[in-house]
Amino acid sequence: MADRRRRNIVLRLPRAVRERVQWLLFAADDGSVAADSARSVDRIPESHQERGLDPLWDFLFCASSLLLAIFFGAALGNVVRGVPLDASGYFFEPLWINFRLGDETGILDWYTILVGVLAMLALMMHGGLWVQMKTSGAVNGRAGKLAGRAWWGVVALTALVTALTFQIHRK
Amino acid sequence: MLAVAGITGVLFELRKGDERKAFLASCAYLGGMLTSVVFGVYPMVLPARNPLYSLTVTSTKAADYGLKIGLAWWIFGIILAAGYFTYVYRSFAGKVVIDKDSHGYGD
Repeated sequence: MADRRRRNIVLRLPRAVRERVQWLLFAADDGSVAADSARSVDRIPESHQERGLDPLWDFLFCASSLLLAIFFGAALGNVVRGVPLDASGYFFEPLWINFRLGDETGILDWYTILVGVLAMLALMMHGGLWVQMKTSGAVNGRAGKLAGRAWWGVVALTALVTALTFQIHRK
Repeated sequence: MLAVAGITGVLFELRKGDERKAFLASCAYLGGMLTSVVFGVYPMVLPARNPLYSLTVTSTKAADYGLKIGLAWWIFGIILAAGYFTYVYRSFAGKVVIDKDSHGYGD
């Protein structure tokens, strides 16, 4: 029973991601986007409609893209925070130690993860605006809406990360 | 300042419905944030937890001869890269039109 439930959760996770991707790319009008969305669904190439999107690949593509954005941001966070360089000009950092900003730091701590999440949201907003600019119909509406939502996160985290950066550098 | 202007511009242009300007404002935000980091850490290029060991512009720069050769090749390379990107983005300019015969590669 527990096994089946666990398997269901695993199967459901990629499906949930797939549905979000399909919602963004193909799905019918959700009532608030442009009126010609129904027409634009008809215009989806048949090959795409028949094949659908493989949930596993959707999940891997989304998850790896999100992680990539977070890790690029975390790398930038490491540069801003400082790395444990020694007198020879080399350094080694484990992926994480205790997620704190102490004498011994890992690549991931609460500050670099925060910068990573900011990078992810900023790229989500940027990508949404790009897709909005390049498309029309339903996809255009959804991409704009996604960018608009990400905007709030970007503003909040930009303010927070800027304040924290000044504080860290003062220390 | 550029980042603040950019992020404000994104919302302003999104509300106005100008997709191109909203995207350009987002470019300004990203550019502003990245240059802020560069100016923020200058003259360091890689700050160390112990400030004594930080790598600075002067301590990491190559010899003058290498820098001159690098600059010459950079100018050549960046012109090629800029030309390539101009060509690619011109080829895919405008909105993507999806129909039964196309695969979403534009007109």
